[in-house]
Amino acid sequence: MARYGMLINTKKCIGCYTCLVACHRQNNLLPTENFIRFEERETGTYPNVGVENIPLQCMHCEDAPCAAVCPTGATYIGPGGVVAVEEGRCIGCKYCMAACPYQVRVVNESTGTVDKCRFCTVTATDGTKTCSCVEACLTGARTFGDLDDPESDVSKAIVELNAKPIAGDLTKAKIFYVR
Amino acid sequence: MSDDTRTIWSHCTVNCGARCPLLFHVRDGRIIWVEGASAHDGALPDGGASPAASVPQPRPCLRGRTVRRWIESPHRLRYPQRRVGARGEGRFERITWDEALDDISTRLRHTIDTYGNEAVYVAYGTGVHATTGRCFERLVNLLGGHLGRYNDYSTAQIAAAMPYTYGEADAFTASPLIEAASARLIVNFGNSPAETSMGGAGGSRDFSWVREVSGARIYQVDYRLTETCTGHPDEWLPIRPGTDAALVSAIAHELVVNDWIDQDFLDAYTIGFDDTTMPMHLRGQNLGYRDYLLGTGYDGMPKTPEWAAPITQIPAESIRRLARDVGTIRPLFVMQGWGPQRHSNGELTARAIAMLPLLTGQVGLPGTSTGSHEASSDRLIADLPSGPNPVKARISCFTWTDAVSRGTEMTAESDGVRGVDRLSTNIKFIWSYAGNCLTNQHGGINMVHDILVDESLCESIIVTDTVMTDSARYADILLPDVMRMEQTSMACQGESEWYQGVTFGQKVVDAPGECRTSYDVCAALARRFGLWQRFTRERSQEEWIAHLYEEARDRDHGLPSYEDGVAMGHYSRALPTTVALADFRRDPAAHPLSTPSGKAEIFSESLARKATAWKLPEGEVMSPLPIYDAGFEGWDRATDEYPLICAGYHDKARAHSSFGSIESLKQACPHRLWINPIDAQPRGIVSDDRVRVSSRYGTVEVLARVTRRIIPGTVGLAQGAWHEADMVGDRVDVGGCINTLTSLHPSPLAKGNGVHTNLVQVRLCKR
Amino acid sequence: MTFVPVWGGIIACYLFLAGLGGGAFITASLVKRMHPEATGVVRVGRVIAPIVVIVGLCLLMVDARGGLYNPLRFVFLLTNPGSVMTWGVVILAVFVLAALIVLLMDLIGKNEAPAWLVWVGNVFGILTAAYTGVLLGVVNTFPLWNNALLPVLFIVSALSTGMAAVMLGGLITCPEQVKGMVDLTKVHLVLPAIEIVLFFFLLFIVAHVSTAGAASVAAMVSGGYALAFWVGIMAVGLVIPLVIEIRALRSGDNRGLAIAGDVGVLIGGYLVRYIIIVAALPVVLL
Ligand SMILES: Nc1nc2c(c(=O)[nH]1)N[C@H]1C(S)=C(S)[C@@H](COP(=O)(O)OP(=O)(O)OC[C@H]3O[C@@H](n4cnc5c(=O)[nH]c(N)nc54)[C@H](O)[C@@H]3O)O[C@H]1N2
Ligand SMILES: Nc1nc2c(c(=O)[nH]1)N[C@H]1C(S)=C(S)[C@@H](COP(=O)(O)OP(=O)(O)OC[C@H]3O[C@@H](n4cnc5c(=O)[nH]c(N)nc54)[C@H](O)[C@@H]3O)O[C@H]1N2
Ligand code: SF4
Ligand code: SF4
Ligand code: SF4
Ligand code: SF4
Ligand code: SF4
Ligand SMILES: [Mo]
Repeated sequence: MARYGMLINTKKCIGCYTCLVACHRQNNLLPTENFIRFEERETGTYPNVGVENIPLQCMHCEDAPCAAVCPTGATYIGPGGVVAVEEGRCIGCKYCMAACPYQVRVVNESTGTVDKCRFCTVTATDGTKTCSCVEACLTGARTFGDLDDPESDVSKAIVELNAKPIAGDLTKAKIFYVR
Repeated sequence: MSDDTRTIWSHCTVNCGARCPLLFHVRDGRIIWVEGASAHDGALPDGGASPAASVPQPRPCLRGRTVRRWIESPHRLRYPQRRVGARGEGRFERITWDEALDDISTRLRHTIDTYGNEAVYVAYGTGVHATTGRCFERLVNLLGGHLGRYNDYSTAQIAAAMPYTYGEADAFTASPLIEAASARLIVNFGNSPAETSMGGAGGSRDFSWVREVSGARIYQVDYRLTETCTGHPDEWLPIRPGTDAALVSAIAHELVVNDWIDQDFLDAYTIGFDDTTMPMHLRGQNLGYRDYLLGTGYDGMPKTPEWAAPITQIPAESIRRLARDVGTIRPLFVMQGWGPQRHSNGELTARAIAMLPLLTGQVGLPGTSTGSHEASSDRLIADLPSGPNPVKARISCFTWTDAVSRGTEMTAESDGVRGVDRLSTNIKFIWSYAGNCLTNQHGGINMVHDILVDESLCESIIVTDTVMTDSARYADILLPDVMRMEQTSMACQGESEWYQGVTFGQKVVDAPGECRTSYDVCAALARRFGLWQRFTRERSQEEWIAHLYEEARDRDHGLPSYEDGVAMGHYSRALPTTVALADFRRDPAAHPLSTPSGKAEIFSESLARKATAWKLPEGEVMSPLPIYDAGFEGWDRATDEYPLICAGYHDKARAHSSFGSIESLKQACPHRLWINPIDAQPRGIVSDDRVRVSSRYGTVEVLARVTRRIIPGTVGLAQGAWHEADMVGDRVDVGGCINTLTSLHPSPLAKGNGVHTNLVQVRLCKR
Repeated sequence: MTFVPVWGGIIACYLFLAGLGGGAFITASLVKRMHPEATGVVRVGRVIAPIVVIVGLCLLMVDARGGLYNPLRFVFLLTNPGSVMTWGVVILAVFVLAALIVLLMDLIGKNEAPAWLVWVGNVFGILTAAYTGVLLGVVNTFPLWNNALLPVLFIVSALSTGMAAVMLGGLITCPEQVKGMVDLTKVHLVLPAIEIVLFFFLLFIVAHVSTAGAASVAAMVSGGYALAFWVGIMAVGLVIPLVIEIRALRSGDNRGLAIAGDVGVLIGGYLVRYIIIVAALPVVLL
């Protein structure tokens, strides 16, 4: 079984939010339901200002704390290591939101349930070739694939670019960042 | 994918420069989603592959991907309407198409009979880019023509100025962005492809590719740390807006004193650097650029880095460092966006930036450009022909409000009127199609309002749009258009990408209500004037599209057949990169420029003549040399009342005002005024506070974004937000449209919109 | 980005009421043992205990809109034995059940509730109080929650608020029974004192372990929540009741003051939950 993951190159990301909008349409989300959260980080003092646009989304943690705390089992780790939410079980208690240190889970305002990035290639039923955010990215900042396959684009890019999870070993995250 | 879903190609039409093909998934007559060409190709090829070598992947940006929300907007115009109440009040009543068309033809007839064709004006409007996107010109030209316009809101100053340097034919000549991949040094003035060239196969991707493969050192000169620099903030060289020419002068000074200039190139390919190449009769008068730089010229001021530092807010050491790089690193690729020129002194700035490649001889060689905006590719398919316009008079497009209020006073020398010495009439009839340039995108909205509400000035205003815009509020007759996704529509690739493509757009869904295509509207008007035959040539819009395509295919046998094209939906091909002015460089005698001298003119004698002939208001400067001047209402005129500069920019939330009402975009990219903490703190402003920004011309209310990403002393406000004010009350624009703050004062030479130059005060609204 | 708290006043209220219910039950048991004659006070405690916990649970369901719209989903609540919230549901259910039976038997008045059942109530009362702290305590995201002191603080606060609620009820319905419960007044006095100490330990430790912790503490003691913290929790909820109790020990009861003190404890108790929920800032990622 594959172990899916992603690489996001913040050196290439222009913070254009196209991935976010593409994700909205792929997953039929409400305008307020953002699976991708942008952290725009400014450092330094003028004129030596540092800026990074960091798109954050569910890291599909192997040790997913959100799944651990979910009282209903609505959040679970599915095939391919994709952390998923079964909407029909979710009571909207938001315990998972509290438990996710990346704050990438969102409430669906109309159903009251909680949702997040679905690694939609794997979960899509519409024949999409790769995750919408990857396909839509204007600069090629994103790469998706099987982390267990050393020949996959994503595995190669992680090695080549020395990509790392965004927050060390906070959780066993499967999104790797170039910064 | 479920079986009852069909995919249909159409295209984005707005003016961001890209015109992306869009693939619509339709079920039961409703769009379920929108995606781009890339959906089939997957992710972008990684770093190595040159855009010129790979399949172009014109991919839509965040806006195009939300177009369904526009198409299905509850605010769509559905029926023809006629104004009731005072003009600009925004009250309308529904009428039939026959009533609307009869009314319009009566008004048009009356205008032409009473005032002549020169009183008819077709407003600038860029909302539709398609081969059949401009139909009214064709009709009105058959009726005797209309007052013409030259230049536009995008490039007025550079278009007016650059011909004096490179000649009319090469005013826009430049290398494509991908040529910069061969450069070692890239200097980019006020140009943010990551914002202004987001989609398509486009600029933003090209730039990121160039950065990856070239390993070039990059300087991005801008008053903001733009998205193009995010991840690479070290590339940012913050500059006070409107002062690029001062920076260039100081760099040039260093180039001269350190002997980093290419004297052989200057002698062979340019005129006016020094007396060697000055026109004979002008020698010995210290009129050349060298004298200007060294302080032996007209102002006696050496343009040292120390001189430029307080003007540009760039420390002298930084200028020296940049000058050393410019002087010593080859190849050098210099380009400019159109931000630096959309200023009251933009003509000078545009020409000044071109001085860097000229002084260093970095023109016409691999990895170089001309200092102009990066090139865009030729379109494959011609537009519906408008036919010749029998009226010769033309105005600069920004001056139409003057032509409404005092047209008959406008002359060639005072207002840049072309084709005639003086206008014979004021504008009495305005046709505005797919534009929001009556108010929102024009300038000085409060003053425009006063001009337009006076019905004794302009008698008829016809607006065609898809939603109720601020400009549409001023219509006498308001027509609902069919969006391009609701009709057959063909578009070529945009202006900012180096590839060629055609989208064979088909009707995706039905238009709501009684919307009618502009082609059919113009054809119906033509019938009322007995011109149906001549207007349509008995072709429907579809037949015109096929006809224009076949004409192109006669010239270009690489194009697929029309049927194949329709089946593919979108055809595109990569273009090999080119070097601007390579022929001129190789053999200047055989390939002269179209300037009077055939060379690049650093000193322009024709400009010198114009500068003396023209009547310029106090404080305006026109110079034969690309000197620095702050321009009217420039930073050096700041007062206690209006101590801050307010510059504009084009941002990702909208294409101008298009997409400006889409909720999800507003959510993702809230409209905020950029302000440096140094300016925010004493005003007690923190991010997301509501602030009032006031200029001499008006007041807006917006949220603040306190950020170190902007130079102190300057605030930045993205253009295009929807004007929203009580125009009979306090006129405070709570929509935050920058054109509430801008002036109607045109720039000296181009008579263009210097709307990035503003002086304002910012105050915290009560919490 | 400004962080928007996951939970707000409703969940704070739920945690507050659950703790209060547990505390009230235990208080009733204490009173019964130490002052068997004060049947009115005992009854007040036994009435309060199940009712407030049930109200709390209802609030939880209102906040969990996914379940509110599809009530059958609450069945799934028992499916993840690893989740503290699942334990909580079990604990609260047992507690409510025990407390209700005890109350019913008390009300019907035929025979006393059996001692073992009261003990089940007592034990699950403590567990209920502890659970509200552990629920937050296991969440790694927020340093303010993720420490061993928080559950202890919540237990003490639960007892204190439970006791205050019972005393308040007693003072209103049968003031003469409350008089002379000097021993309980002493307990009532000790609890806020312990709470103050615990609170400062908590803040001190949290402020020193991480930046997010320090920021959360700063938000409480000097930032946007400073007023609620100093006036609401410290003054109204802890110090003033303490002073009132001390005064009562010295110079005898004053019904008005006693009522004010107990109301203060309740206000403070709610604010403790509220502020800890909303002032917590997540670990810094970047
Ligand atoms: N202050 C300031 N002002 C500026 C600028 C600036 O930088 N600063 N930039 C200037 C520039 S570069 C430009 S190009 C102009 C652009 O100004 P405009 O040409 O006015 O561009 P938009 O605001 O996009 O307006 C396009 C209109 O077309 C409508 N439209 C879209 N699709 C259709 C359609 O299918 N049919 C019809 N009938 N209408 C349609 C849209 O609803 C919208 O109202 O703005 C200029 N104004
Ligand atoms: N997303 C998006 N893309 C667009 C458009 C849009 O509305 N939205 N509009 C399209 C159209 S029609 C046009 S004409 C182009 C416009 O393209 P441009 O005219 O190039 O765009 P601007 O944002 O006005 O200016 C470019 C940059 O110049 C900076 N700048 C402004 N003044 C100065 C100055 O004095 N000196 C220097 N060094 N920098 C300065 C701005 O901060 C900005 O980053 O964009 C096209 N692309
Ligand atoms: S990132 Fe958050 S939501 Fe995703 S698996 Fe990890 S804890 Fe869960
Ligand atoms: S909100 Fe839904 S997914 Fe999250 S913990 Fe509660 S039940 Fe599980
Ligand atoms: S992988 Fe799919 S669901 Fe996740 S952010 Fe990307 S587009 Fe959205
Ligand atoms: S689409 Fe790509 S460049 Fe744009 S914000 Fe997303 S990751 Fe960044
Ligand atoms: S707005 Fe421009 S870049 Fe975006 S989809 Fe439309 S044409 Fe493409
Ligand atoms: Mo433009």
